Amino acid sequence: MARFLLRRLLAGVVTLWVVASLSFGLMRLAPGGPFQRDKPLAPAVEANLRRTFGLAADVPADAAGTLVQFLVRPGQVVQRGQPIAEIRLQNGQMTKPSAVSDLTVIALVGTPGRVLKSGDPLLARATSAWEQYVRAMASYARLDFGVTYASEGTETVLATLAKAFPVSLELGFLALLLALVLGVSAGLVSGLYPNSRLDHLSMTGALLAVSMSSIVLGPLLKLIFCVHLRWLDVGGWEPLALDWPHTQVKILPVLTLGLIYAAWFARLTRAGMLEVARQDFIRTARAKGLPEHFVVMRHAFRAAILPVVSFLGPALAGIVTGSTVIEQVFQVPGVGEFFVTSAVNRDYPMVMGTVILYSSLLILANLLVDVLQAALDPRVRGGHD
Amino acid sequence: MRQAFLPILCLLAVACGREPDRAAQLLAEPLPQHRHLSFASGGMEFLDPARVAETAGHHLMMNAFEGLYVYNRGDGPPVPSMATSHDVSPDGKTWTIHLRTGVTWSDGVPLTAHDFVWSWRRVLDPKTASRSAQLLWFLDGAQAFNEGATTNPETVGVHAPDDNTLVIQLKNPTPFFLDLLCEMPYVPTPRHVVEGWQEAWATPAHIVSNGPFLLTKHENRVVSELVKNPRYWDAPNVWLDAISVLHTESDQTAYDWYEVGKTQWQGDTSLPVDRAPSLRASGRPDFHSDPKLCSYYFSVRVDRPPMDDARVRRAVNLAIDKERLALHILRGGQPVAMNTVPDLFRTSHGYTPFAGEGFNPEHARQLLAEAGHAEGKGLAPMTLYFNTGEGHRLIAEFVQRNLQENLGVQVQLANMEWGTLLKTLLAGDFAIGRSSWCADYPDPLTFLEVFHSASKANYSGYKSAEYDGALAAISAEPDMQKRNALLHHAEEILDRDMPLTPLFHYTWSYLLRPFVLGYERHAQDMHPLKYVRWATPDEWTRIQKGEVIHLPPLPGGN
Repeated sequence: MARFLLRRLLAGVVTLWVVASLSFGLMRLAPGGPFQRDKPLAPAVEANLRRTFGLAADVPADAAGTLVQFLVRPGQVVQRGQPIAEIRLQNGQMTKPSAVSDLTVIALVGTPGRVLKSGDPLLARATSAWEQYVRAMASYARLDFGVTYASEGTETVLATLAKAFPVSLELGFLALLLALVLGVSAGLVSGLYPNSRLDHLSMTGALLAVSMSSIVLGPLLKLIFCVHLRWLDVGGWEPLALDWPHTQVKILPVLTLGLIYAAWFARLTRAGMLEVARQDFIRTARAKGLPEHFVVMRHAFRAAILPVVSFLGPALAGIVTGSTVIEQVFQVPGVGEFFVTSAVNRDYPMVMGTVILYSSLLILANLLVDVLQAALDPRVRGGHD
Repeated sequence: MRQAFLPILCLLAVACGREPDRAAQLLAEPLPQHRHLSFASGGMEFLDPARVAETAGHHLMMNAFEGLYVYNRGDGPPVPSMATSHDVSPDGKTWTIHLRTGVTWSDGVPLTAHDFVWSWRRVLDPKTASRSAQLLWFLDGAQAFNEGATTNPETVGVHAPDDNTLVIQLKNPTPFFLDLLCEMPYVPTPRHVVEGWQEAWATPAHIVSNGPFLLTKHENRVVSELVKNPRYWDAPNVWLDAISVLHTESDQTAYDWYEVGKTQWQGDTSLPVDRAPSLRASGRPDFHSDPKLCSYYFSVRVDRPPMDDARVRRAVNLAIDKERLALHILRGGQPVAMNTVPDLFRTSHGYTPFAGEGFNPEHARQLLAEAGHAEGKGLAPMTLYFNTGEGHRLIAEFVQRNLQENLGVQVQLANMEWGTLLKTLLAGDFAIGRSSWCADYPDPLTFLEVFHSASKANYSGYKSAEYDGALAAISAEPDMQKRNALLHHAEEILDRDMPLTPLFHYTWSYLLRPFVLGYERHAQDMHPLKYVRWATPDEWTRIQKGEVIHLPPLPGGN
């Protein structure tokens, strides 16, 4: 078991690296950049911002003198060896420093007539994607995910996620709990009394919920309970706050997210129960004269629940990512929103932080499901150890 | 099963409601017993006044910090705050500001002219990396320091000879400098707190400010709260006790909050797209639509045939029925744009924008024929690029149809994400591209500078020495009347060369409970909440009878 765990963990780290590298590449391939809002920023202002995030570096003057003119302009792509400025040295000679590598000019520093010392910045250039990648991976290895662009560098990605993650976790946990309790018990009843009225009722409900997407159910519930009836409020989620004003805002998001998964669980449990009921070991258990509740709970249920357990992994993934919509509809300050906003705003560090967080979560969830399955099913356990 | 849907449908029908009933409901509301204003606003991650660039952060911090002058209640000249008066040198470039004596920060520490010098230098420091630093570039030496061409902060044109005097050196005579002094990057920040707490200073735990309200709570994406600052210099005239800002990025949620009475002002969110027209038509007493200093236009690439011919560009401009566009497509009361400068400078500048030629398909066809393309002959289809947004698509389709019908010119539409469109615009790789410009500062020049040959937002690639010269002359002119004539001249050049197709100027629609007074229409859309109060019982009765009550602007600075 220990070797199995270790192997899976190592594989997880490699998966994370691949996911991070892919996301990094895709992010840079996407057109636009973090500094493109409604208005283009002045080159110098953009250069200052870029420097803060390691997206720009200075090109220093290599000699002292007076700047005569620039030979490049902001936005220009300059080839290696191409002259970038004209400088009159102190001895009166003219010199034209050239680019030491291919570069993109972000901003020119100063205007002609400026007196330069050796090493003074001449212009700001964009750092290359490779420079940024190496820098990013090195800091991720130290568990440093950088600062968010949205906060203009005043807040780290980890601090932002640390505030939002407990919210998403609470929402996901409560929804999953609701889904499991509601779904499994409905499925159990349906499976035990197939084709009864109870079965029809719960399966119709399940079919409705499965076909309904959260983007329909959420706003509908909100319209009825928050806008029209005014029984519940929207917004103001605080994790672990238990008083009524804070609890009531959690009801609808948890219900919306939970109901849809409850439906899946109900259908899976029902199918599992029907399948298991026909099997030999159940007949044997009954033949042994075991009480019915013992047969159901001890034998049938444990076997019937296996498909549900396997579905827990993808369900967790769905609940976590699917909550993006719910979070937006119900003003839940969770991580889901960052998926969308940070990608749209090209907030590179935040995108990477969110992707890595979710990937780790999924890898861990799948690992947990494997372990759980091994614990429940002797056949799986035998296969690994 | 069908029966189950019936109650839901009924609920939906009721929830959608009828607007006239709503108007009566709003006027029947009792006056609140508290002095606590709530409104919705987008989230804001950081609140350092030196760096806030988003509307949401502005709304919060402009009530916590005040500069030398502050925006008036409605359209009027700026009102003194930390300053009491100012003198301007004859060349308009040296401003001496006299500060109010005895003002303190909210922790009781005296606030002096040195705080301003330090704060402005901090905004300009490249390490602060402020997005709004450019607003300080009007100061002599500010740009060089901000760019990093010099590291000596003494070179920036602001000095404090004593605790109560500030001497400012400007690059050019700047007639709108008083308005600039109200802007966020010009407010003082508390050195003794910023240096102690670094990045964490602008959080409720540590923040110290000098405005009418103090930040007491800031939970990003949930809620922020401000309470009245007892140490504010004019505290007796501040009516509200507290302000709650409920954060949401969803227009629908903000609207719902307002409708259920959770907020009294819809805030800086927009009205839900599907609601705006019916609200406008309803005549509800809480519906307002204010003009904005923002212009919507198409950039026209001037170096690409056939648009390299000014006659073709002018023909395109004349062939679009903008009145109909505003009336039937936009439906937001938007003023039609004949040129890029909105008509909002009459009271502040005494300036009336250049009245260009209106919709005239006859003249348009004539111009096109003169250019050798009668009825669109020999013209390859042009592509109009616009970014995703239902409004943008409708506008593009309207223009497409107009050009086809009135000129015989074929236009293809290309929709892209904003980032992609901006990249296309910046690369100059297009024929017609959707653009807009909102004022950086309250002066016509901010709209005209877009088309300067060195401007980064000059997507049209328009380069005219004559026009650049006209702009330089405006910047150098200290006399307001002569300056207005120069502005007019620059507009004329732009109208002749037409590197853009102006369409309309933006308006901003919002909902505000009828009992809220002191929130007056302002060209720059600035509404300090220290002016806001509920109606008195007497005023409320008058409002209920249909009267509209406005509080007049305050006397401005000298």
